[in-house]
Order: sequence, then structure tokens, then C-alpha cells
Amino acid sequence: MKLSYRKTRSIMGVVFTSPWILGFALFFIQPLSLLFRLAFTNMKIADIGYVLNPLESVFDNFKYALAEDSYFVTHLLSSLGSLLYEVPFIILFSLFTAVILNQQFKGRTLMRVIFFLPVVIGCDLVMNVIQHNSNEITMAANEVSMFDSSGLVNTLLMVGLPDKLVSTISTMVGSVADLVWDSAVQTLVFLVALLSVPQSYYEVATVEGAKGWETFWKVTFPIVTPYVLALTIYTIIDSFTNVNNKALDYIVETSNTRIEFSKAAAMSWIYFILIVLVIVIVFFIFKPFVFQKNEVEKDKKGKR
Amino acid sequence: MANIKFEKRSNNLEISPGYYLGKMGSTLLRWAFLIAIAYVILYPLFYMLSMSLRATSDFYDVMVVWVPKTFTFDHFEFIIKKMRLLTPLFRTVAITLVCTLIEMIITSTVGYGFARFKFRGSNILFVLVVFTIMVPPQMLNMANYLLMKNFDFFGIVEAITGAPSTLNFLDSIWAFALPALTGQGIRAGLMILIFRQFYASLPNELEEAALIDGCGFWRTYVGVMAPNLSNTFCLCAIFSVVWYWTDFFYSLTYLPSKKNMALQIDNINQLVTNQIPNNGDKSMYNLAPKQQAACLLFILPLVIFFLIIQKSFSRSIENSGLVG
Repeated sequence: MKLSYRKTRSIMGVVFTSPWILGFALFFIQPLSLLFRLAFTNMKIADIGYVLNPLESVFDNFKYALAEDSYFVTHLLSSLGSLLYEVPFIILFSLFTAVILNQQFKGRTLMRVIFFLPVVIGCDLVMNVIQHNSNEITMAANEVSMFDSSGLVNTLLMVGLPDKLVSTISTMVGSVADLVWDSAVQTLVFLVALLSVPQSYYEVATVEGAKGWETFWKVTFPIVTPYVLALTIYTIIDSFTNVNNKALDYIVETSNTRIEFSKAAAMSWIYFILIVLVIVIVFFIFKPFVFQKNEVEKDKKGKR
Repeated sequence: MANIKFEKRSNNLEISPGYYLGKMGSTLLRWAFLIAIAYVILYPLFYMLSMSLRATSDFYDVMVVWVPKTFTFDHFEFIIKKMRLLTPLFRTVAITLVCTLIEMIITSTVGYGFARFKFRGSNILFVLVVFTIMVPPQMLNMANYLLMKNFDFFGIVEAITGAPSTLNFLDSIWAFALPALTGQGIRAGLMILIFRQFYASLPNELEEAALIDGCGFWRTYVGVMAPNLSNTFCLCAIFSVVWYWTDFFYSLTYLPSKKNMALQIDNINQLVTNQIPNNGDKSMYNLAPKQQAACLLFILPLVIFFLIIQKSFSRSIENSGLVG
């Protein structure tokens, strides 16, 4: 039996993606369904395994998370708020850095190596040990401490700026260092995306007399827009799933320390729905601006 | 025509001082930016080096801030000789190598499937890939633990044998390799996303030419399309190696009794203290440098790997040989 080309292609598509489909069922749907059952029941650890007791009313756990728990909603709002300045900063900074690292200049290789070091050594594990040690030693002796901005704070206060402004500036300076560390993955992906822009596009732009800025705005930027969208989504997710995220930390604490698995499951679901909502909103805001190669080709064909 | 050209040239000559000034200014700005950021990045690394290379006596010396007075490799020697970290190290190396290899092959294949083939439900499935990234791993932590302890496929084994499955993947490499094998390794969703994006950006002509010349779908993928993404493979290899090497979260869940390096580093404070004899110096001035030395040794293989692989980032040649 000979299948049509189109049919073969769609079968091949399933074949290529089949490992993921299997894994999705095994390692995603299966645990998620357990989590779903947990959220609507009251789980208790039994002698062997666990038992799921029915609740008085089905949404009790959700009600608890949203109305009765005094910390959960506050943590949720604060992690939402930090997204507002974190994500734009990381995306703009990493794109800017990638563009600079893509230029021709002496010492570029060295700079690339330095800028991508956070990808390699920026794991929380090592950073925690450094931070811990640094704090201990700073407390004992007047040693240098990590990302210390106390000197800056004193200078600004001496200049005569109001206290509140100074404290905002010092937290911003502190978080800029963190954000630089957080944007290494994005920089690396942007750089690879920039490398994939065909050289001929730039040659055309130069021949047509485009200046550096015009070349960036009209050639480079449209081509990287899909990556801007993808990385924005990644950055949001990374911020939400970060170990240091307070809301997530609170959920883990509820589950592991307070052993309230069912309540933690309900919180997880609320948290997850929030993530999905934010991503969907961002996606639909960005979608019209994303440049698609195929659209241009379609336009060309239409004009013919 | 010739006249106009000549005029332009003379103009250029006149503005050349300004042109060079502008160029110098942009170079200066660039270096100011690069150095400022490099400082932020290198700070912890210098801190670790400075800490781990100094003798304990240097801590009591006010003059020593950054550069140690007495350089010593004692702390490194202590970590290597006394800590017996060889078994955990071997475990980490095995998990990292096996899982990275599997993850690269699987995510690339799946990404190719999503980028190049349209089939019924392919868009929905791709949205679900993004979904898998969105779920914080902490959320599925306990469920995954239970799953790995009594591995089962939707209760099929339990239904057949009547008892909970006895397949226990905890403490074995399978707990890491099995998810990787099915495209659910550490942040595999992100890698599928990256591969899909880059495969989709390859020109259609490339694939069509290979198909017309008689390559099957697999050969088109392995022989023609994949080699064009050497940069992307390097990128994902770096991510994968780093994430598996430094993974603490999954290790904590899947390796309850057999420790790997990440778990040891997390507990390094305790481990170092235990190795120092009771009459020895247990002050933090003796402990901290050793901990920093252990951390440095932990990330050293990653830095070396990175230095080797970053050389292979190159401008892609995907469009060579294609006209129009």
C-alpha cells in the first residue's frame, strides 16, 4: 500500500514526537493526576503508602489557600510584582549583551567566556556555599562581603538624598547583580540566534546604505523576535519556578515541613493556573510583533 | 557619475576625525560596559580562589583582604585525599554523561518532529510541551517520588498482578535516564522549544532537496538537517551537562541513600567538619577555605568543558550553497 506524501509526513511527525508523547503520559500526566486527586481530598500518611479521605466540601483546600492562609496570597502578589521589572530587564540586557558579544573586537573570545560563566557556575548550590561562608566571615571580621552596597548607601546619604530613595537604589543595585547572573542563559540563546542570521542579509543592508542602528532595527531585531517571545516566556517561567521564589518556597514548606500535602497541592494548582494566565497574556500581547519568515514568502507569492 | 563619487570621497576625508572619534567612543563605551559586568560575574570566582588558596593564618592578618600572603594548596589536598568523594563523583559523571547524550538525541528528534511535520493535534501537543515547562518541578516532587518507588504505567501493573509494582528506580541511574529517554529530563521542554525554533528557521529548500534526491525522512534529518544545527547542539549540550551536574533538586528526591556530588556539596560544611580530628582546628577559618576549595573542584570540570565547547560556536553555514 502506498500512502500519499502528505499522509506519510503526518505519520512521520507522530513517529518523531512519539518519545515525548510517551514521556508526557508517564512523567507528566501521571504525577499531575495524583496531584489533582490530592487537591480535592485530604491525604494522610498511612502505615503502608497513603490514604485519601474525602473532604466536607470539595473546594475546602482551595478555600483554605485563598481565604484562610494569611501568607500565601501575599507571597503570590509579591512574586507577580517582581516579574514586572525583572523580565524586561533580563530580556533587554541579554539582547544588548548578545549584540555586543556578536560584534568584532579584540578579546571577544575572552569576554564571551566570562559572560557565559554564570551558566556554568551560577547554580544555587555553589552560590549558597559562597554566600553562607561569606556571611559568616564578614560577621566575624571586617572582610569583603558579596555584592556589598553599603559604601554606595553611605555616599548617597552623605550627598543628601532622602532615605527612602537611597534604600530603593541600594536594593536595585543589589538585584542588578542578581539579574546579571540570571540573564546568562538568555544571552547565550540570543547569541546563537544572532549567529544564525545569514551574513548575506547584512551584506545587502550595507550595500543599500543602512547605518548600524538601522541594520539592527530592520534586519537583526525582526529575525530575533521569535526568540524574544520564547525567552520572555522562559524568563517568566524561570522566575516562577526558581528555588528562591517566595510563593513556591511557601508551598514546599507547607508540603514538606507542615506535612499538609493536600493543602500544598491546592496551592500548587492555584500557582500553576496563575503561571498559565500570565504566560497566555504575554503570548497574546507579543504574538502580533513576532516576525515570521513564511509570512514574507507568502506575501511575495501573493504579489507575483 | 565619476564626479559624484569623487565628491563623496572628499566628504569622507573631511569628516574622518569625527568618524574616528565616534568609533573610539563606542569602543570605550563597549569596554566600560563589558568590564563592569565582568566584575560582577568574576567577583564570586575571585572570592572562591582567594579564600581557598590562603593559609588559615591569613585570616588573622588584617593586611590580607584579597591576595593571600601565604599561598597554599593544602585545602585542595585535604579535599582530594581525605574526603573520599570518588564514588559520588563517579555517580555524578555517569548520570551527567548518559543523560546528556540521551537528552540531546531525544529533544533534537522531538523538536525536529514539531518543527517540520504537521499532523493532527501537533499544535496542541506543542502547547503541551510549553505546559510541561510551566509546571514547577517542586509541584510534582512527591508524586514523582512515589512513581519512581513503585514504577507503574497508569496502574496497569497493579491491575495485572494485584499488588503495587515492585519496580523501584530510586537510587539508580534509571530514575534520571528514563525521563530523559522520554523527553522529560531536566528542563527538556526548554530544549525541545529551542530545537524546534532552530529547525523551523532552516530553509524549506534544504529539506526538499534532500527528499527529492532520495533521502528518507530519517536520513534527511540525521544527514542533512541536524548537521546545520551544530551551534544549537553545543548550546543544549552545555545546558544539559550543567543542569545534570549541578542538579540538587532531583538528586534529593531520586537518590535517598546513594549520594552524588551535588548532595555532598550541599552538605559540605558537615562533611568537612567530620573529617577534621577532634583535637584539630574546627574554627570556620579552617573550614571555610576547605569548603570553597571543594566548590571550586566541583565546578572545575564544568568550566573546562565549557572552555572546550565554546570554541565550536561558529557562524552558521546553513545558507551556503542556496541561492534565491
